[in-house]
Amino acid sequence: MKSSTEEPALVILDPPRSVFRRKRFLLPFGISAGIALVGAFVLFANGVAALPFQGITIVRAMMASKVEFFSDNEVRRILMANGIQVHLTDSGGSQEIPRTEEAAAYDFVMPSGQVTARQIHDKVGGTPFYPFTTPLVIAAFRDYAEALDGQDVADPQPGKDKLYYTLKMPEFVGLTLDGATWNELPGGDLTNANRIIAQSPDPCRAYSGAAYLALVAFAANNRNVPTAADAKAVGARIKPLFEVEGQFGAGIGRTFFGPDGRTFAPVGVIYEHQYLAYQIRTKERTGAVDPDRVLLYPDAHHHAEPWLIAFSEAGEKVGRLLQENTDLQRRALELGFRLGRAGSASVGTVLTERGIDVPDPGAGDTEAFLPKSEDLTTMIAEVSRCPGGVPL
Amino acid sequence: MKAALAASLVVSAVLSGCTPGTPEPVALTVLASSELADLAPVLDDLRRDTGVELKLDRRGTVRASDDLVAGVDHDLAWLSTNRYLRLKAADLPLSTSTMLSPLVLGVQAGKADALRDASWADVASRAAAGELRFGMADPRVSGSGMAALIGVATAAAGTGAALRAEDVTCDKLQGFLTGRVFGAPGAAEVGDEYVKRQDEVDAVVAYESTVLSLNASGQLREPLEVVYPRDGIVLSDYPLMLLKPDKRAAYDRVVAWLRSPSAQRVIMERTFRRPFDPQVERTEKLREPIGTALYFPGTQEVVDTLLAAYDRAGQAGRVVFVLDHSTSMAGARIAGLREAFATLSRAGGFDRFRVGETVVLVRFAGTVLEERSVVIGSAADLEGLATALTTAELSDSGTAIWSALDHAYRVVGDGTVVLMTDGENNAGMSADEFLTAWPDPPARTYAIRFGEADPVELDRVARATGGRVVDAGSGSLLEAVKEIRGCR
Repeated sequence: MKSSTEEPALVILDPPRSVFRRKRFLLPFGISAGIALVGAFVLFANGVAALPFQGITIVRAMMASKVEFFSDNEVRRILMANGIQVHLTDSGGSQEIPRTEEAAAYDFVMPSGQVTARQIHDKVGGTPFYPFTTPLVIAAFRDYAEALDGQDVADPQPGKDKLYYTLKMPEFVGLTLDGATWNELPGGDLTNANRIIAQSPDPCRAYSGAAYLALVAFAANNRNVPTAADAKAVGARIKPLFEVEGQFGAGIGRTFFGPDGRTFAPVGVIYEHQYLAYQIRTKERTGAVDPDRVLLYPDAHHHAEPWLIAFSEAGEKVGRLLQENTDLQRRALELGFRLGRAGSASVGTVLTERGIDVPDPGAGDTEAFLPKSEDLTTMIAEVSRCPGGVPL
Repeated sequence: MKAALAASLVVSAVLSGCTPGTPEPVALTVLASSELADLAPVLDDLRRDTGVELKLDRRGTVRASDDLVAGVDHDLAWLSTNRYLRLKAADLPLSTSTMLSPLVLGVQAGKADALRDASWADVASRAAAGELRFGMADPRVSGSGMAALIGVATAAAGTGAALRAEDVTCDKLQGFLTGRVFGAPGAAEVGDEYVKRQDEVDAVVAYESTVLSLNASGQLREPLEVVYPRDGIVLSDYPLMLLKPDKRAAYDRVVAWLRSPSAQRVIMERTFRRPFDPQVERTEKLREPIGTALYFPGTQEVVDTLLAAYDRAGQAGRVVFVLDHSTSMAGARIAGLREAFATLSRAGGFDRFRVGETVVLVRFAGTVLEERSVVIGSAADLEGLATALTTAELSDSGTAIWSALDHAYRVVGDGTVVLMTDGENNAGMSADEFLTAWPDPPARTYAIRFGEADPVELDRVARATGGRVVDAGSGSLLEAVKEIRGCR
């Protein structure tokens, strides 16, 4: 029997009229006057235009999960007050941002993490800005976290609401490689008969998927960063873990927090900012945090640093604003980001002010350095069939 | 050229001659899933508010995904899911989820009690026994039909992981498919067909939105209860996809409108789909927790394998059990055999005997003791099969394995043979005589061995037919039988 993971004998060629060629990146740059008019009208209606009349620059940008930042009403308002309206293209995943001149057709791009950002910058140039960082984490429903705690695979962090756990990655990866299912965890009372994994976006498409693969590889390699010598072997070892999920889902940064969150993924890879923003919002709206959704911090962690790579003056203006404007920085903290190189104000302060427990992302005190980009590529190629080619 | 250079506009210039009227009208062609016909009133609102008219060209999601890969001329696509597309296409178009609906069973109240909190195995078991008759859309065309096949097959494989092609080598779908009374080309049509045939059947396999819409339509004599197969939910998220990049501006307008809380509410109220926006408060029926999703298969090969199994549905199915009743079977072995038949007749999930199947029992010792054929047409036939072996006597006349198998091959037709024995051949035909008589064995043959049986030749024969020998020594006989049920 042929294994489903063998390379297929047939290569699917692009059909002559395929709609899936990357033409979608070649946006028409004739700006629709309609959009600008609407934008201007909204601006006026919001009273922002009571400011001295000035030029409004429409800035075109492509990014993945960071659209959440630029879609925020307060961020839009602050940018608009500075004469900027950002028109977003959601790439679907950071790895889908082209590493070609097509990227430079935008005013800026914002891949979700530094590995991808560096590649784009190396190949296309542009001016990088570093406005914030956010750890890669695993979101879970509380009963799942407690079942892992019961097996000593996760340890609760101190705090009155017990929102955060530290996840022992080697043990967690071990559970998956052993083939354990959630309902087999003793005392867990879970009915879910699916194998134990953290559901992850596709490493071929999403930065979080690729970075999570790197964390798993580090854990499975006795806490050593895989190198050129062993990347292929480590990839082969962790491949079964990524085959459990079959077709990768889309990122759960939004759906996890909806009423059907458990169906999308009871346990899955997200960024810390998505969770913190949700709890800050929930506390503001209801007066209490959501006790049912918690975060697991991998003991070997990775702080993703989304770079804003500007390809035009307007893009650079946005980059400078994000790095220097105190209103935008304040809002970034309220949206759960850490400021990284851009400032010393802390997301911890924002949480404390609101009476929300402050997590310790580095409780395990191990920085899981990502492998070199080419070694990560080797592992992704080993683990996942990227139909469009391995993007790194 | 830098976009921003062209994009500077001065507000004063804008304000001088502009009022906030409807933007210029645009019509977009949309390749859409068939059930989206129910959005017609919503699309009228969309057109009124945004000036964008969506012209839906509707077909089943699986068919539409095939067409998309082959190349179409539509501006947008709006399918129940892009998962089938992702199995085939290297690159995905810009895609935004718009609304949610899980695949469920709508079951008439009289049958629903037994299925509350049911698993896919419970559903398959009832269907195989003729106690659950339903309509479902054609999985070759429709996403809802394919989602049902994936749900049943994933649960039947029981690996806790995404279905792989090698998990589907034996066909565990047939019990479930026994209950399929009618098909339809799409999720909407299956609802229409149910209305016409509601007196003949018990249930419909469709989206939650279809079932709730049927209930609200006033066309049902008995309302349907929604049964969520809790161990393997497939949730559709209806992504709107941009096929022609030059329609981006209109696409953005449509997406912004569809994702607005007011539109999400209208969609929920008119079509019973769950809002994608978590902030929109749901109606009571749409607050029901759905259950655990299955991990979706990662390869097109799996989908193709399931379709091949689907195409075999309705074939009668015939299996000949050749059962050793020599005295060495006394005690736990014969008890295990009887228990296995009772279980497969009365429950047995995906593996139980099913309506339409013919089960032939050939009991042997030193000779063939009895041949009994049961064509399963009803629950009574199943009950008869459950107790068929309870009073069968053992015989000390020896063990004539090859003569019994020779007999089975004469009555097997196009079915399969399952031989169970615990001993060495010491009566009737020899292995050599058998192999001379059947140089090319006519039926897939499985042998289940107990204890000391060491059937070297049996293994050879089984392998030559594509079957194999399964050892019941370590586990239960029932598990051994389940392992080969549906294999052909």
